[in-house]
Amino acid sequence: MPARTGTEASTLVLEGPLTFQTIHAHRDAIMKSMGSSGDLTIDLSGVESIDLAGAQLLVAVHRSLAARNASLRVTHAERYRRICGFAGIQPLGAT
Amino acid sequence: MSPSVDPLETFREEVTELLSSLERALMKLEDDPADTGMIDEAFRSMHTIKGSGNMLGLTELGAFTHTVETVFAHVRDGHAAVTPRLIELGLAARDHIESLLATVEPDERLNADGAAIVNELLQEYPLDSGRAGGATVPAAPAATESDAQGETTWRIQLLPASSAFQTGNNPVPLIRELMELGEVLVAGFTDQVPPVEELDPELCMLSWDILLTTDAGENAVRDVFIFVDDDWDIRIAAIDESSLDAADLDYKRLGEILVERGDITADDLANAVNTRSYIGDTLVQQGFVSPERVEAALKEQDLVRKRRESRQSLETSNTIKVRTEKLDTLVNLVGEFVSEHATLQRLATQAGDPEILSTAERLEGLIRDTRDLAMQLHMVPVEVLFSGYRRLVRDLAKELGKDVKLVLEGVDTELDKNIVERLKDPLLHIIRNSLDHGLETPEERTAAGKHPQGTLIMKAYYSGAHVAMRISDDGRGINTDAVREKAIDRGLISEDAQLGEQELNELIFAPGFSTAKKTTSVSGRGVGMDVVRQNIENLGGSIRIESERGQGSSMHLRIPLTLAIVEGLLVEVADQAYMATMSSVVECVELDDSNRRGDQKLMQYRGKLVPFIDLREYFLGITENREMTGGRRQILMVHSEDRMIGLVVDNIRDTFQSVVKTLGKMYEGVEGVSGAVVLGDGRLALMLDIDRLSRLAAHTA
Amino acid sequence: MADTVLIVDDSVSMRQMETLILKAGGYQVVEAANGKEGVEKLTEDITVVITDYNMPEMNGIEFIEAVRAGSVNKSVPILIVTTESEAEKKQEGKRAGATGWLTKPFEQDQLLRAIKKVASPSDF
Repeated sequence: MPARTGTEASTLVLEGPLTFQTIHAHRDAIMKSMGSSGDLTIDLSGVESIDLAGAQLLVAVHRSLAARNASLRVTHAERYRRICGFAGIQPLGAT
Repeated sequence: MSPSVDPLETFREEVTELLSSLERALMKLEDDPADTGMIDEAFRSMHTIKGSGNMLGLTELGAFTHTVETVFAHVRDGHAAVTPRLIELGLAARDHIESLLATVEPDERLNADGAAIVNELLQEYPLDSGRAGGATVPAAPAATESDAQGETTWRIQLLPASSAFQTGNNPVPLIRELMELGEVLVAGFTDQVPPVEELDPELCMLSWDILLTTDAGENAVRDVFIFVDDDWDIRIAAIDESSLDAADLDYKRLGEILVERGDITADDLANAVNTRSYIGDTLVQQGFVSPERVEAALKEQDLVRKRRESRQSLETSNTIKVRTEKLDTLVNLVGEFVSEHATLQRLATQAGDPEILSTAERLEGLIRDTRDLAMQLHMVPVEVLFSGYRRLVRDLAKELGKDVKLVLEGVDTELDKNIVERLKDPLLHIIRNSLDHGLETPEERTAAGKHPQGTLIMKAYYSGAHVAMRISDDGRGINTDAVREKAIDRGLISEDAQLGEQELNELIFAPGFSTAKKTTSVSGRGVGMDVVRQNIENLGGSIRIESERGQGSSMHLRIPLTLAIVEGLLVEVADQAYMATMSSVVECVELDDSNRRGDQKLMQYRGKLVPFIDLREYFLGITENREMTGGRRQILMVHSEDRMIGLVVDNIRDTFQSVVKTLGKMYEGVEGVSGAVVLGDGRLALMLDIDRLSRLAAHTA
Repeated sequence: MADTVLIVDDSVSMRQMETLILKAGGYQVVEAANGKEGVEKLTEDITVVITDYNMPEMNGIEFIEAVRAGSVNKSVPILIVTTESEAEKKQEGKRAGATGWLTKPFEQDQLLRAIKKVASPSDF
């Protein structure tokens, strides 16, 4: 489940499944850390599974940040990349 | 109740319970026919027995309970009232079910009992036949059979309902299932995903285009989506089939694919095309479409092209490629064979040795077979020729602002490859003419009460030793008034010439003729229909036109099956050998003065007046001569197209097969001769151009 | 852990047959005799639900509506398994939020395939 925000106020470590069942909680956490301007790093090292709802959420975050000239970096993004690869979607922000 | 391990035993126990509750319900209904709860209970007990019974393969029971259940549902839904008869029959049904269950295999008497109850129930409650269907056991859904022939590439456009994530109908398993069917290429689109602030993360905003290549057939593909909610938008279209012509490697252009997918409109495309740069970039820059959709369309284009390429190489995998020159050499060698054999035959006859003679005859049979095979090797289906015009028709139609459908028929008809090569330009010209002059714009067509889309049909079929071709359009036909005017203008006919419609139509083949009001880039470039006719006649073929004002025109071509070897009749005129192709010869008759009609070049033949040409006169300019008085000359009756003419020759010698050589310098420009063959004795025989001669005869007669 | 299927059906014999098939297919099974019991027995551990259409207490449609509106495993795939095959009833099922439909009688592998289809995980 959503966890601590990094000291830089720009790194967010997500935990638990990033799926339909938990999507609202993750969205709320991400929105909170987007409050300030600037780039955002989302660390998926604690995420044990991700579904299309999860991938869609990250795409939406990327879109918001791009609109305000900021960027999204998604680290430990293997699962994110895998589901995007499967679904033919660009894993926006994945490093 | 502790269920037994055997489902059938459990079922028996269950039915016993259900039957007592049915009995209870029926008894209560007898007291209070309006008790809907009871009739519902009666229905449900039947329903359960039916369901499990069918599962266990008890079809008699399933069919019987189905009718009873349907009647109960009918009453429950208020379509009829409970009657004492229903109670009676319901109880009878109950007893019948009990007996059915007690036997392994119902006997005839038992089945008759069941049928009697069903009949009486249906008499009491007449249902529409569809619902009663007493004997119908709902069939298990038919296993999806492969209804396809070969592989097909499907474009599946998947726009899930926004609730897709919630109902467990997640696109992931669907895509996975498609993967099991064949090879897939998945393109997901995120362009409808809003910024996170506006996103309801439970809703699915993603959509997909999936290209699936499979031999599973359309039903199997559609079955994947059978459980999917109706508010998903799913479009399935075949974009490539292995039965499609592999020679036609071209697939649609990027812009067309995007329009077809509904990613952009035709207007968007038209606007973007006006600018010069790469179409995909332009569309993205102008905001008509997202880059990922262009990417997906490009992938589609690429996939289909690759598939068609690999199919083409597959098609040739159990064949070997032979260079056409080698093939030509083979055909020529066979031709030489034929010529040499003629010499051998002559020598054998002279020698009178029966052994040599019979060897020569056997050799002739072998040569004939070899010749046939060599000819077959040289044949290609006209599809090769016809399908090459698809692109031309499409591009030309676009350029001219017309909407034209090209229909190809008889594409399996085979023709000599050399002929195919030499037909390319003439056909190209005919098609251009059709699109430019014949077919109208959609507006004009609509105004004329026609379908806005014009049709151009190219058809080929065998006709004796020839292949007939018809290229017809449903355009405006030939404007004979304009033709006449132009012909007078050009001095082709006199102002007071009396010409029929057909003769006027034929004028378009006159040298230098063109009816176009202005020269367009399409058909106005130099070559006229006269050149087309010349080219086709050079092949030993013929062309004529049929046209009806407002209805369209068609060009009728007759093309010899093969150029290489001809079978002909040798004749002699003033010591020169000539050859007439066998297929044009009708018969030979003796010439005597009685069938002449004075000075006119007409003769009596089977009760008709037929024009004739004296070849001695025609080729040598000799009018009368020594042998004429003897009346020993012959007339060769030949036909060309629908005409029949007579050719007066000195002598008729023999039939002969040979390779036709093009004429040397010596005979260039000799009208009425189309080639030469070398005879067995080394002499040269000239091929008579029957089509040309017959036209000449018709004109001068 | 093996995938678990919740069977909701008022017919004992039907539940028994389905259980036999599913266990042979490697699934664990939880049984419920009607919709009401089905709601009670639905946990996060259930992978797929199959439910009958006509049942006393709470029928299949009401059951699906209750699951989708609830808080426990609300997006679980639910297959309706029934003798009904009218398009109208299928529509009703879809509207309520059913994932799929299987018409009785069915063959063993038809049930297993239908379950496999909706049970395959959609996360990575």
